[in-house]
Amino acid sequence: MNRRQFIFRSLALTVAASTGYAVYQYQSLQGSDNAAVLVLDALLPAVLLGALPADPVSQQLSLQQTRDAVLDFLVYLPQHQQQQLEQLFQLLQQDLARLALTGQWLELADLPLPQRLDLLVSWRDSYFSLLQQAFSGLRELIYGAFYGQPQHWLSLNYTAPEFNP
Amino acid sequence: MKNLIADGVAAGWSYLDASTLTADKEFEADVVIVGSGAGGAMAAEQLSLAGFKVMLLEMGALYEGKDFQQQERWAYPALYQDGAGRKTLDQSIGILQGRTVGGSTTVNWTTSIRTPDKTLEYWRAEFGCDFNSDNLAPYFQQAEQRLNIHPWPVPPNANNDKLKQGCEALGWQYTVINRNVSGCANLGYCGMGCPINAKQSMQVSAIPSAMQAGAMLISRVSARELKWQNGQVQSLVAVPVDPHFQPDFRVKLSFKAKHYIVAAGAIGSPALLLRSKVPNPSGRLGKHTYLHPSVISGALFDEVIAGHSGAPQSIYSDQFVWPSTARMGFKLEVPPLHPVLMATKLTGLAQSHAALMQQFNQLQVVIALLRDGFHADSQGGTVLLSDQGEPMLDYPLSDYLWQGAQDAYLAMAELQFAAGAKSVLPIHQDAQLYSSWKQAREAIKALPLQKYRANLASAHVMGGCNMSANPTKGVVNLQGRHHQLENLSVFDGSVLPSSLGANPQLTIYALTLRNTAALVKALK
Repeated sequence: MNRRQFIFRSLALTVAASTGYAVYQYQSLQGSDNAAVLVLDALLPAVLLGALPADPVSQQLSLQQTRDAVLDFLVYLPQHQQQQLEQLFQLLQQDLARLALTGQWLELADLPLPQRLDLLVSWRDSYFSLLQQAFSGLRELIYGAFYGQPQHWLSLNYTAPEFNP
Repeated sequence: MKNLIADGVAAGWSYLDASTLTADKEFEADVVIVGSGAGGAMAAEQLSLAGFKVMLLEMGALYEGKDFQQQERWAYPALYQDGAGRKTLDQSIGILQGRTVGGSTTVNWTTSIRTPDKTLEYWRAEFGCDFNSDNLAPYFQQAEQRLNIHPWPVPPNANNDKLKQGCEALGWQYTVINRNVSGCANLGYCGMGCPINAKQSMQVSAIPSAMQAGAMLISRVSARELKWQNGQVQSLVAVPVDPHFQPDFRVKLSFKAKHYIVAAGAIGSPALLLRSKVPNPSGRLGKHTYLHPSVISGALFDEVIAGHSGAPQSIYSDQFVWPSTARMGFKLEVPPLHPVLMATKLTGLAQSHAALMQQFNQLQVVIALLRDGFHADSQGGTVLLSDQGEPMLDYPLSDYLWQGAQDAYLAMAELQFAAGAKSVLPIHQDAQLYSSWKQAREAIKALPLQKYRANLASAHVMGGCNMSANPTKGVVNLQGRHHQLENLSVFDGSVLPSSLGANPQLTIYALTLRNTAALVKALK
């Protein structure tokens, strides 16, 4: 573990402990044939750590809405990019499954958040450009989907005006 | 507030949403224009007023005035190419480009700058261009009058004001920006379509005027192929697009005209010509595509910046555009700061990203637009076609460009500290918030200059069908006429033989007005 990974890990553990982080229980590793859904469900709680609402019910709703917003957005990308993303999600799903197996977690929901963040950071710092692309692409999709929703602007102290209501 | 086109259509103007068609259809006109942005719409107006029967085709949808919602989750999928998620082939540069009636003029930030003299000189020397600031002046004036382009008289918003203050503190050059607005209320939402018809984009100016003069507007149509033989385009084949703007090949539309104008933007135009396998003896079709690749620097201030509010761009600095050394120059500007745009560009992950976002209203952002082209080590990108025939832009990043990126990070950080920033964050995966110029300077010099580590963005796509006096050096001649196909013109940013070192809309307006005047004469 390098220094950066260590910092992310400690940060994630501290936050998870302090907020009584609600674990997102949606897919088991064996239970989904939709790689995009599985990968997003696994990564969203990690990427959005610190930004999600504290209340468990709102948190769950927020995760679902963000995942759906990502999936709704993908169809606007050109076909060749959609196909690439589909392959990428398959690859990342395998990466997640491998990680879960090494730790003997049977359910994805049991995969600890620090591990998920470490995985993301390992993609970012990978020598493979495909994984580097995966990191920046997923990050952009997830943050775009999350901050596109007005209910997440509270902490930004921002509201969108309506000039033609 | 009026929806000018919808009201006109109700009164009898000719408009068709191609996605409503269920059977093949043939159309005839004097001139068919592909693309309704800065080039296509300006040409449509001039040709319609000159009495030609014009059909103006647009891949995007018709939205105007009251339709515009000030939310990025609506605006990006509705108004931008690939939902504002367009990227270069290796995903290293994000590209913001309009795809709606009015093209990028519907979503741009209104900055209107005449082509820099040094750019014109370069084109004259390298591509035999016969124009200069004097003989182009009448066309610049015509566009400026048509679109009410004037220096912005209102004080800049805080985001722009910090750029100005930094320049003043350091003795750097800066300019108050000319904007194409009329009755602007300083709202700050130009990038999502002007909700009060103040921005003089094409869909409130040239397009209604062309339609009033008889032009037909067809939205949601994707031009697929120009059929040509014996040096003449015979017809244009097009298809409607589905609700997600993907081509729908079940219905075929055919357009016959005396003359064809391609104005689908500097990615779309070369793609259409490549799909059509038009003659390409210079080998330059789809090549030398320039982006003004931009690096970004964030800064936190104690006071409120609220960069979402107020005219998005009102100050720029040309201090570094034309350096005396052989380094790549860059122009300094600021972007509007909206939640999605910021969240997707800011670095950090999980807690660190959330913490930055919580300081959203204290955040100030500067961008440096690298002036690509003009150098043997900056030859731009190449438009390729996917298996489905859709464009992909391969844009390699050279050491020369990275050196310019580092210079730009340094200049932006120095400027932001000079303007009073308490910390500066170069938008690079390995950078952190730095609390002094000295600390930032050392850290920036050590940042790895690599794709994916530095976040790069572009809002200006240029080249790919470059103009040249000599057919061996370009795709179209100096009037935008295709060198080999007699009744084909290209009127958009793709004719530019290099980047500009300035925001492109006014250059495209002026060149289009000049080239349309020549075309009108030739066709009459």
